[in-house]
Amino acid sequence: MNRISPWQKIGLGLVLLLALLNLVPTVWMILLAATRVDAGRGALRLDGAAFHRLFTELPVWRWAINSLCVSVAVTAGNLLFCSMAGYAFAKKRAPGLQALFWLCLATMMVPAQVTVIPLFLMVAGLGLSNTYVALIAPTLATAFGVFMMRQFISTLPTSLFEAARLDGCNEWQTFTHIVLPLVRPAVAVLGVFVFTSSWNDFLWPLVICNRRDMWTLPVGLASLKNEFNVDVPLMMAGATFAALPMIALFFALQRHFVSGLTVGAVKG
Amino acid sequence: MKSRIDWTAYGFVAPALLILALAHAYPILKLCVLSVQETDVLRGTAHWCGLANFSGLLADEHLWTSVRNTLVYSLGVVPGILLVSLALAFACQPFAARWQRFMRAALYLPGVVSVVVTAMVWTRVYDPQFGLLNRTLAWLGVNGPTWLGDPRWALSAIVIMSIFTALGTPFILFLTAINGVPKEYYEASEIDGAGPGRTFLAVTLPLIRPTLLYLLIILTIGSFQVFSAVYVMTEGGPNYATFTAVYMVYEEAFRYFDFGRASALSVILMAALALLALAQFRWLSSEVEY
Repeated sequence: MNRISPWQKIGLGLVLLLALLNLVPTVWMILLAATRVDAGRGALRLDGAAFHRLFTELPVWRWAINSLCVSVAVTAGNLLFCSMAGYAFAKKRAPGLQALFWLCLATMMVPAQVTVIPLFLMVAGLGLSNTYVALIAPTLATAFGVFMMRQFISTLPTSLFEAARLDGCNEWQTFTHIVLPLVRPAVAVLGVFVFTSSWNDFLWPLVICNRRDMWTLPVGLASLKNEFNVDVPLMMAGATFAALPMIALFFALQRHFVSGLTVGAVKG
Repeated sequence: MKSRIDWTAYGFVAPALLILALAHAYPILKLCVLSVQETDVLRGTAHWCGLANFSGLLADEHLWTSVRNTLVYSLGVVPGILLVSLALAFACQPFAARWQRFMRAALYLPGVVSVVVTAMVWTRVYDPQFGLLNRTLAWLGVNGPTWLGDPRWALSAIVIMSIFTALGTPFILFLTAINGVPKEYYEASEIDGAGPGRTFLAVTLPLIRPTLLYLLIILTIGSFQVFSAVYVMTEGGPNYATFTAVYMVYEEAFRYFDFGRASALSVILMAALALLALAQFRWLSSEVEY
């Protein structure tokens, strides 16, 4: 154990201060939403009025259910389809497969912000505006997910799959009985990543859904600033309502959040 | 055994590739077609118009405003995030794992909630009268600006928010990289009489270069796509002070329904991002051995 110099102690002090400062807006959001200043005693008092208005005047539960349905479906689709594709790309040999993998990676270079207009015209042209299909289908599989699962499955010994085949498993049984149980750690990481990005997605649901009952939470929340701009406690109650599930998920699954980050990174 | 062709492979990749083809590959081609067409939304017709969308864009002063704002945003956010998170990771490195875990959680937490939520909360932080920031400044005897209402400060305000809320990932990657540097290197540097600053420049920085480059590219590409914060906080204003590229795409397409122009702008943005991505592959192919 090396000694710690006074400089390093000052450094840590500053770092902790900044970390706490970083949490201040989140705490302030909850205070603005759930308390009011008691003028008589000059103290803060718990006050649920803003949340009461939020739940009675706005369809926030509907938005939350929309967000939940979309995120769960998108996550389930990614886990299945990306594992399947990742398994084939990692362990199977067929003509053109490698080229398809590179094509798949190439789509990662083009972000969704760029393709939003043609995608909107396509989906709206099919008459699918304001539907769950429109919210879910475009992100049911992601290039990042395919890449990640392929990298993970590459590290598994090929002999396992050959043994399963010798024992009489067909290809699909090999996948469900051998591959899926083995990729569980990667599935947790990808699942957390996909769920978070889907829950927080904004531009796509904003343009494809203009009916209020089909909005997801971020879109519904963003609409508050037009209607309820002066009602700060209500807006902060809405922000808290949308933020708390993610914060809870983060504390419950912190390990998976953090290990997902290093997937794309390199040794250094 | 390995060389046998396995035809089921196509079945396994089909669902994922079908979705990627329909939701990414085809829209990219369609985007290029749209960018050279004039679309009439009411009649639902489109016809070839050459490069008129592009020349119209280049003559539009708002395009140059949006390009400048996007570059200023990027040049503020990317170095800001890299410097702050690297300094934090370096300062944290000598300390026990439980402190590091606390720091990771504290810095990462603001990043897990939607940008819409963050932007709404920071709009209150920047409120000229009742905001946390100006109240703190007033307490210090400084008369703060109106931040989001002031064309000189609005973009900086969004930059500051973006830096603060995006520190988590870079901090964790830097900390992982710094923790991966062998302890003997630091001991050798200490024996040679180097202080913390010298140690950082001569030992840590060269060895974490790959992480630094990776983050540089990822953050730059991300910063070019800034939209939600602008939409929620300023809608591009005041007086186009926060009008960025993706926000302009959104306005052209979904406020003025000029899909041709919005597509031409998207093509320009796509080209810029592709160049950045190519730079990523070039730079990342260099290895560091130790």
